[in-house]
Amino acid sequence: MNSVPTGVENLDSALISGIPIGYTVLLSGTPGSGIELFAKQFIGSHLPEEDATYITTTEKTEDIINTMKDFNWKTDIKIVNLGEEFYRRVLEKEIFISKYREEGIPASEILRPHKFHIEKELDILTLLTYEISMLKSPFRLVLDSLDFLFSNEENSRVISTLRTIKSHTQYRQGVSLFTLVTTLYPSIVQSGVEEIVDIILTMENIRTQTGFDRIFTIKKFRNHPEKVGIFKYNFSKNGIIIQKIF
Amino acid sequence: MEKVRERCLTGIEALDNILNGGIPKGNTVLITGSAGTGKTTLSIEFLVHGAMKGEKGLYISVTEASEKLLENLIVYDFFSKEMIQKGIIFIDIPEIYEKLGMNKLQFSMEDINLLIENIVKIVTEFNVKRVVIDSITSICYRLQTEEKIMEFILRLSKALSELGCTTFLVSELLPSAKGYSQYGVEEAVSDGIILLGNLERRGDLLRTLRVVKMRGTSHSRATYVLDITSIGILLVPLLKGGGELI
Amino acid sequence: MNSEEFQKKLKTYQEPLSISVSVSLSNYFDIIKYILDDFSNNKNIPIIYISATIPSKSISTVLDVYGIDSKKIFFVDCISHIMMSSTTYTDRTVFVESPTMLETIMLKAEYILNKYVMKNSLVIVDSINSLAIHNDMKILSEFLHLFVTYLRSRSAYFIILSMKEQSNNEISNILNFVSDEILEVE
Repeated sequence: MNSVPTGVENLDSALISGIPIGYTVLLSGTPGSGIELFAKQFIGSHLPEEDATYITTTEKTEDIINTMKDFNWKTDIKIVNLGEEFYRRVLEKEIFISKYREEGIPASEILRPHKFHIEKELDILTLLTYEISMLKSPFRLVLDSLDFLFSNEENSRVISTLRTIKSHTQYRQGVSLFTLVTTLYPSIVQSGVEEIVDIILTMENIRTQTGFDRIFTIKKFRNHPEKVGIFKYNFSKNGIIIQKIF
Repeated sequence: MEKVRERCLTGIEALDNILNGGIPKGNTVLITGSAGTGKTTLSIEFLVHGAMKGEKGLYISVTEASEKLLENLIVYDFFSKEMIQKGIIFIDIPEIYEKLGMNKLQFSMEDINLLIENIVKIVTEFNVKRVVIDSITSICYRLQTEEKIMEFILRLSKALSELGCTTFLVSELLPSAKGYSQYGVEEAVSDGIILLGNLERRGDLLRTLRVVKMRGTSHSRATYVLDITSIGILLVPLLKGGGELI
Repeated sequence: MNSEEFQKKLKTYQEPLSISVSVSLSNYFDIIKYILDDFSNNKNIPIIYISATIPSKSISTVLDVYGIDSKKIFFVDCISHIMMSSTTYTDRTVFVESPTMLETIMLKAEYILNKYVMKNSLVIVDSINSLAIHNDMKILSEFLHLFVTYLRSRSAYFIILSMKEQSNNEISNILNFVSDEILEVE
């Protein structure tokens, strides 16, 4: 089975020399556990031939690049900022609405009702699907995060978009990674996503009396249940490192 | 002796005669009837005659896009389409809903207040003297409860009346409706009711008009036959030949 | 009176009033011709012709033969539709679906009067007998009463044609009631 490296020290060997080509990975974690950092480390470790695309919904593009530079990861990637696009179109509209609700609709817009248009509603999922369809084989994709999609779109539509990405990943020889903050969603959503993906990785940041226990698990590995396991993880100047504990 | 109130001439000569000199200024009048009985035509003509006298009109379209309405508008001998567009402000209420973020099926009291405030704002800023809301039934549909419908109509008509504005509320009468309006509340809180209908008499279909109620003036309660022509609406008394109002 | 007397009589009318003219079938077209000729050519008064007996198109044709310019006449045609005759829309002819739509006849007459702003005009009903075939007497007398009142307020002449052969007491009573003058032409 051909695999591509994750870039995370000791993780590739715990998997099958990395992530098998065609696989879709879910990385879920508690807030502050470092899943976003993992996502950047993963995209920054792409092979030269891989078309690397990082789709972000929450961060500014330059912050992503700066963080990756701090860790000396490769930054020759394409960043698609769904969040900024969303903000530009949808939130801008909401800002207008709150202004109009407060001050009333200005007369100028009443007289020229057809000149003014709040831009057509952005359908993030359509935009996302479009971006995915542009990926060339082989590719490496990160979607950070699913939380944004679930909080702005209908759950069933998000799930169906994820299925599209998954099959595209399979047929186009790619690998895809989705991030998701756990414990926020009804179990039907959680299990819906978990059922689609081939590998589930989790990161937990558990508070102890003396500090934090950082637990990394391989929760699911399609057709390789023997790979499931629990690890500790930590941060170094090169990024995330995992260590076997059992 | 009853104080004689200032009148707002509809410009439809026969109707003004039926009303003994026009609609008492500031009244809110329900123009009610089933589909195809001439409610919109009557309302537009009311605005057109206002515009001819320099009284600004406001047409708030709820169900049909005003552009489409203008396309299908009857061509009057006495007033060009260009003049109509100059003297009457046409607003599509879905645009107002969108600008105010009123996207829920059922409006809250806050939404109702906002809607009233914004209509009043337009009326004030443009010194509007005649308002048509076509149709009130479609707004009522999103107000749902009788209390909210009553609140909306009462507060709107009070505000508009204080501004010296005479208002037509177009009401769609479905066969299921009892009385003169769909929710029953509209007729109770209006100052006047003009009922439009179709009368079948021995196989002939006649359009009819009757002033059912008009506060502030004595008026005929007889039924009239109506004809829509290029010189405006014409009325003659219905001959007493029997027949059923449908 | 005979036809000549009738023509002379017509010339004496200078003020709007309502006249009923009883004719026999034999001189029906002649009488129409005299009336239209006098009002259109001599008095130069615009005419609204309410045709309930013969389609307006046939009347125009006959008038053309008589040398009366039918283009000066407005028609309210309430018979073509029910006779399934072809109806050619011109700006001088309006159609009423059926002679039972008496209100619509009034509305169309009012429309023509208002649209073409006529101070003096003549409205002819051709004929009360045809209208009586389609309407009951009660509604017909109500119609004529309203119509005559309206036309007086508009300073219009009103001529109601009736056919002697088809007349009866009820029709005579109505005509007595609504007419200022009643003429019988032999």
